Amino acid sequence: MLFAVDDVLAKAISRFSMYGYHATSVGDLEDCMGIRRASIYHTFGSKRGLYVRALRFSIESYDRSLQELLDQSSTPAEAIIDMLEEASANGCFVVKAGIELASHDAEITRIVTGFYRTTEHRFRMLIEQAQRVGEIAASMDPLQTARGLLGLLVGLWGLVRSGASGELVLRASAQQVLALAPAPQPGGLKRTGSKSRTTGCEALSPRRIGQRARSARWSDLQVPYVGRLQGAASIGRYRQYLDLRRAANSADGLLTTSSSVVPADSEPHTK
Amino acid sequence: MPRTKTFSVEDALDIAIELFAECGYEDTRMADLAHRIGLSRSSIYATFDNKQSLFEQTLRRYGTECRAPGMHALRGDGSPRAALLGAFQWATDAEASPQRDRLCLLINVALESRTFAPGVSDALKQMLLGMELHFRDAVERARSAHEVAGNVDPVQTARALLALYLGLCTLVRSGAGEPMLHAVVQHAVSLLPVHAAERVERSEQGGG
Repeated sequence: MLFAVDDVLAKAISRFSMYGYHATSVGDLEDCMGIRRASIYHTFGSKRGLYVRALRFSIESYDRSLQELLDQSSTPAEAIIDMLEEASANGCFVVKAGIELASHDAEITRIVTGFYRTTEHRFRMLIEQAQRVGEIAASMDPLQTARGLLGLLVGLWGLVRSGASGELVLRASAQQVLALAPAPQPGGLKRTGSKSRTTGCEALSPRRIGQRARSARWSDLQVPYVGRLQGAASIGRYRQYLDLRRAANSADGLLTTSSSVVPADSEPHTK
Repeated sequence: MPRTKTFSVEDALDIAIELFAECGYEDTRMADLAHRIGLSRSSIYATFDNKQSLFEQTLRRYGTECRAPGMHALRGDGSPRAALLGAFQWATDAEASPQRDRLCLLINVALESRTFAPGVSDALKQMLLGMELHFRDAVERARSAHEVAGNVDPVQTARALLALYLGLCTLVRSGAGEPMLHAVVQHAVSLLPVHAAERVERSEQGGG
């Protein structure tokens, strides 16, 4: 029987990432992959062999899609926001593998921690680039900051999986990266250096963005960062972010439930 | 003291949290719970109806009453900032202790949620929402007590702390190692700056 290995691996990934390794039988895999048991054993050796292949395949396709994403980002800081925002399902499978199997299986632990290290390294490179162009404060330690962002990324995978909205994740991510921006000079909007103030920012002057930022109750710390954003895409994203932020200064949480009950006030069970 | 036949629903839920954390949702049986509490299965069913309903109540208790591992630190009367960081420290310390398995419930249910019935998914969201609100409350108290800078936004900071906490627990479970965990805790520290001015000084030293 002929089949494309990539196709059946993608199907196996969706099954494993939803139910995990232990709760997936070879029979379940036959059903979801659409191939016979004999083909599974012939191609992948065993259920575990298939799982390891699926894990590696998932990491490779995450790397590919991330590279495309990063190629489109106009500044390093925006690339970091994109990475956090793109808390995708692929990464989630790896996270799940780490949780389910890392304590029992040395090879899987190596694959998962290797994936975390690659991601950490990617953040570190972006942070260093962002420091060179003045988007992130030079005082930040790139390695330590990269690890902090990795922790955040892994947590966001879990939250998205639990039903947190993408908009709110974008907002929390942008907030994080903006918090790493260089601190302002005393006296508000003045910026260091003698770079052109308006490069790429004609659509909305830094002053106007500053005013909007203030009216949206942004902390002064974050205002100078806006002037440093060069690409129109970043400004567009930032404006979108401000709009989102204005809408969300309310008391709603990162997760909204269909019944929209605020648990702090409700007693879940009565005797 | 002799064991009595009465039990509080709260105590039973706390035991259920442990059991679900150890065995996961699928593998936990009502009979195990009855055995651990020392009650008959019929009393358990009379109180909690069925496993799904018990699980939903467990998640609500976990989120709303700070029963999630490490979150109990937030309920203390002391310094709110220390309490916030205490929650992160607890998760890090759990790596080397039996407590590590208790992190399981929090993380596993978050990543398994797509397989749950709608009622359970909602209970999960409420659990995480409850945790977010506890973080927010602690950040607000820390701000009132001047332990964190006045420009720290409690809503956004609480969300970032929740994501970071979930990430930290996940990394602990996956065996990420101490340096990584330490850096994540430091990231939480950096979300709670004591003075806004501190950032200016640091930037002036490091910048050019």
